[in-house]
Amino acid sequence: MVNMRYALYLGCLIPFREMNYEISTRRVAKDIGIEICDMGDANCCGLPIDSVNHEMMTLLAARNLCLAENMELDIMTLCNGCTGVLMKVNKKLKADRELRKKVNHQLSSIGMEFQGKIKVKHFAQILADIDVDILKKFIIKPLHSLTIAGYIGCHIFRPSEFMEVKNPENPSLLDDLIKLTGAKSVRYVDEYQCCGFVEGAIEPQIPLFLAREKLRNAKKAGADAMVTICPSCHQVLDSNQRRAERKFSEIYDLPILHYPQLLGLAMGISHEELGFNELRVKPAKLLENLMEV
Amino acid sequence: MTEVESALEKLRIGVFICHCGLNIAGVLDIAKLMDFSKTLPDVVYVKENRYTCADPGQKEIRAGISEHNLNRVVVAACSPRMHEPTFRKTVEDAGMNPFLFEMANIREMCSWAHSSQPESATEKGKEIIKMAVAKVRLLKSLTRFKVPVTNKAMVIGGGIAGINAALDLANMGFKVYLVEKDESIGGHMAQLDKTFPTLDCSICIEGPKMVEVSRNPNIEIISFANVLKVDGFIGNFKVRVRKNPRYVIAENCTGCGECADACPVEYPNRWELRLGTRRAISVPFPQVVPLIYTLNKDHCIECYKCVDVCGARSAIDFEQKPEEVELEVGTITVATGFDIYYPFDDTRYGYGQYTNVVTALEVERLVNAAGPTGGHVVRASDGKVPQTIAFIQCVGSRDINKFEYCTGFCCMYSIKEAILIKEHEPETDIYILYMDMRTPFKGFEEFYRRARDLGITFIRGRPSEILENKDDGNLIIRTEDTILGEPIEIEAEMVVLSTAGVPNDDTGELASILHITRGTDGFFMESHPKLKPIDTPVDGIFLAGACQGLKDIPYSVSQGSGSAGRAATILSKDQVEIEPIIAVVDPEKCRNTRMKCGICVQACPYSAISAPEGEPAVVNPAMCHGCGTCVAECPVDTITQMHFTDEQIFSQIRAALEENPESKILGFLCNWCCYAGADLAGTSRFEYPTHIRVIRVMCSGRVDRDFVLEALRLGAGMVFIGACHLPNDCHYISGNFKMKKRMETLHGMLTKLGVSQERLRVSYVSAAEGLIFANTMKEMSRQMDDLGLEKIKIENAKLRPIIERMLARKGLLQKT
Amino acid sequence: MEIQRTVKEMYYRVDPKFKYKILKAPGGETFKFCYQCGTCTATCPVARFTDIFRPNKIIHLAKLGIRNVAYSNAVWLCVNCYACTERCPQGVKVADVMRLLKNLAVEDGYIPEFSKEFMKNILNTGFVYSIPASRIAKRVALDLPPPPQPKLADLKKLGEMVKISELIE
Repeated sequence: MVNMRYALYLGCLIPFREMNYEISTRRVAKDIGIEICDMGDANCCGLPIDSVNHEMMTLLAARNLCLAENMELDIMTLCNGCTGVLMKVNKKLKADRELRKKVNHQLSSIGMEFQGKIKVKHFAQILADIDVDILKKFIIKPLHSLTIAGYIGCHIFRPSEFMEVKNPENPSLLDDLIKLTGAKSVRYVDEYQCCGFVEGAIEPQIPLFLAREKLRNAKKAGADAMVTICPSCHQVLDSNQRRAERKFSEIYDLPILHYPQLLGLAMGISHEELGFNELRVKPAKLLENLMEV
Repeated sequence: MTEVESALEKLRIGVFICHCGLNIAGVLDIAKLMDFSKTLPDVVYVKENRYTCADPGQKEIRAGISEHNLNRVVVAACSPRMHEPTFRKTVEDAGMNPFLFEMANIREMCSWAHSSQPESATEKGKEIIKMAVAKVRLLKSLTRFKVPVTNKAMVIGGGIAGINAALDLANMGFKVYLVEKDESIGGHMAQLDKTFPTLDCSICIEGPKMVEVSRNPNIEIISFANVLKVDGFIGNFKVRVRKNPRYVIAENCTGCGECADACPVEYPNRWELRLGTRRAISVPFPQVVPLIYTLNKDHCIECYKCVDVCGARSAIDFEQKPEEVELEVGTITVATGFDIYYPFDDTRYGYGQYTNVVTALEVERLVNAAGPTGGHVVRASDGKVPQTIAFIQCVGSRDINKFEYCTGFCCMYSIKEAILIKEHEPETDIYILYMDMRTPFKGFEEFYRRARDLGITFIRGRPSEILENKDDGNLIIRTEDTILGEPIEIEAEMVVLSTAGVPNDDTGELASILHITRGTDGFFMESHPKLKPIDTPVDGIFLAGACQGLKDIPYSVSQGSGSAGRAATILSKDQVEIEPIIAVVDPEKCRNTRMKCGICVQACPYSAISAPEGEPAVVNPAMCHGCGTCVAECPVDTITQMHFTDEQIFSQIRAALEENPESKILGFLCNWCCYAGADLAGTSRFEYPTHIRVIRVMCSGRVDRDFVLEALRLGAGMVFIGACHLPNDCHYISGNFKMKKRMETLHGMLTKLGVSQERLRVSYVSAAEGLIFANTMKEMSRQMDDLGLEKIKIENAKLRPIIERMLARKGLLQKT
Repeated sequence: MEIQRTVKEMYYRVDPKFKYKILKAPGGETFKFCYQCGTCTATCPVARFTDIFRPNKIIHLAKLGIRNVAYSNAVWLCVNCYACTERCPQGVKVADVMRLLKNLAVEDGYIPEFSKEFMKNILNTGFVYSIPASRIAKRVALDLPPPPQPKLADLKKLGEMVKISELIE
């Protein structure tokens, strides 16, 4: 068991629309030994407001950072977008004295002060930082029969100036995590292209086109399933998959799992406990495949 | 005149203040400067000029000297690095000793750097003049040394620039050593197929020049050799060269090539960019000069077939050892050329991963009839001739994340290669993906039209990535056609990357061996980018060709000849004059007579000082380079540096800090790096606050501990020492190291005595780093503001009695 | 055959002043370095699948001060994926300039409906989406802890600090 404690920041999507991501994360974290403390007072990270007013976004993000500072815990995020915003705002406030003064002046109206004491990390980065030999001990049912195409998303590693992922042209973060479970990880064309979730509010067709690229290419590369580490990416690839199939008259039938669901299977946890029934594209064939082995 | 004489002589100082058009007059109040200068002690004549360096201005100086019997002159104008030699000559022509002259830099270090603060710049200008007058009062007449000139030349690098330099020098009658690190001279030009814009065959025009070099009785080619060490000075360089073993005896080798035919081992030929092979004993290409074979021991299996076939000539010698020679030359020309960027690290274009993505130099070898594919441009994946080829321009160039500069010849060479391929295989579709087409010189724009005439299509857009189709090796390029404003995709069977030209890997090493600087782009730095593009700040060392900055063949040839001309101005004389800014020991005060000392001997990087037991140390004037490190290291202050004596420098410190010392930064800048960098900051108009007062020293090693102590005693706000970068940039090899150690010890002591640690600062700034100098000045001013005048005054008050005791012990405490 | 065309006054008058608004704002200074190489548009996933979104064109429009075209329409399609910024050879923070243009558009009264929705939701619930009761019930059914409930008074105060209500009306 590793001994870690984090403040869990869920964002807006996960608590209400991607509960299976939350379920699987809590379960996997518990088994590994990462204690999760809920941030009961957390608000939207501010990313959707950035286009309206950058300052407002900074304040929303700063409020969450202050909450974590009060809990004296580093933040663990599950959404790429939230990670991008919180990490950037955290770093900018730590580095820029003038900005910090201004923001603290505004935060004082709600009785908070940013002190720059904590760090922000995505769950995938937390796992990647743990010694692989320790994590391997938890893998009791390696998924050797599976071929997985990982979709890392974009905000977790771009812009490379702020985000902490090695090799920003070719990040292998998710690749390594998939290999950890014993599954085979494949490369496919345009795997680092944005999912386009944000576009959904303006032009819903764009995420369909972008989903199609990934699903088509992953299938061509021989994947049995895809894995995501962000609820927005998951929505585009999973909830939108049937729509894309209808629009383009193509069949993908590619289950899209949240990474903790994949890891959980490899850790011997049952798929019901990992929220598999919430998935839109049913992974029945995948699970059969695993049962046979 | 002697010390006694100059002490008794009545000083009559003339101050000439230059407007420099509006460069100085537009910022500083010249009238105020003139009025102020008149108040300085012993100043009898003050004159302003619009352009002091021009003929009328110089006439006025000479007139001033004779009419007013001046015996000291100060010119307040540009940087001494610009015109000190000019004005020294002016005063010499008027009958005054040229070393009784001092310049006050009120342009690069004042008006240009503080153009938005005219009032405080004028105050600073006054003090700069005050410092110069204070020093000039203590200057002594000096006579230049004459040293003999070895009228032989060395050219390092045997590419087209080096070849031209060597031929011109040889034809003027000078003996030339042409040192080349590779097996043959010829450089990159020998690898090219045809040259733009005439499409002359490259080796056909270079080959005869190479042969001319080998035939010229005045040129000695030392090939497959490296320069190890360079000592000496203008007219008198001693160069140590190591000839690397070819395992073939040069005198016995007839170049017949039978050994290569007999050799069973092949290995990739680096000269052919590994597209072709060569035997373990071979020449890299047929037209090599000198025609001597080389055996590569890494691949030789020692089967001795070559020895058998060589027979009675016995040219092969497995035991051959490297041979070091020491050569004496009067001048050195550096013509070491360039390399190209191989974009293995750029995963977007797939170089090194996708088989059919190549660099332009590789295409030169493919299209060359004597190349590894007999002149057919074919794909590496299947040997087929590609139907569609795409050239991608600016790979690595014009990119702030890689190489910020524009390489300059890739637009032309890609047009050339496209034309050659099209003429060879007219059915090919060729696209050139560019950002700008740069075709400025003679015949270049016409060449561009010729390409369009052949149907070569130009697309304006920089591709974002290339994808590979694993089945057929074809490449899909994603780019935006910026003219259309639409993203497009191009499927090409072969992609040619026009990559950046870069400095050779060993440029840094050569720079430190020769003590020349490199610019921020990594190429060697010239004395002045406009007026002296061939000289380096080290007298006697010249640059030619791409190593000074990327250029094409006609430009390189011109520079090669130009450098021969520059070198000849030295070699054609029997003697040259050396600056007399050397160290001199006072035999009566030298400690070595009383006890075993020799500290100066250890400090000198040129072994110019000897101190036999019981006798005073002696400096050999011919070997002393004038850094002043020994002067600062001497524990009893018995060595003096002419023209930079302790008294002179103390007088500058006192003049600078007479008023409001707490708000000033006293800076000691070394002539070759930091002072030049500060000049560059002014030239580039990078503004910074006016707090600093600069004292120029030849080397940071000259900065004595006592200077810093005196500055703090007088109440200086901060002290700054600007030196050349460690480890290799010091013009005098190790002065900056000695300074670093000295100042680290001093800094520790001062911190213990309560001095804030920002107040003594050592920075390393090169001559190319104007922006860094300006930013450092801004940072120090901010720090001074943060500390506040009060805190500085308190710290100084606490420090003063302690320093006074220390200086009094050495007899350095100024009597008020 | 029908020839598709629009007939109106097509020429633009350059406005030299607009670019200073962008240069002054934090994150906007780098846009002056753009030399129109097109790498951003070649990389952009949205440009690949739409006809009007071309980041380098938008930057050039902004430089020329043709503001209406620059920020009233296409710029809202940017998904902020930062792929352009990663690849720009001149260090232009393209995605940040897009965001800045959106912010300037909002100040000038151009704001898409969904953005207004989002802001109102945040002030009303703390989250970007409206939260139907069924979802809260589902959390209970799945044995999950109650969802975060941010202090709305705090968010209102922060909104007042930046005068958000003026912007979203």
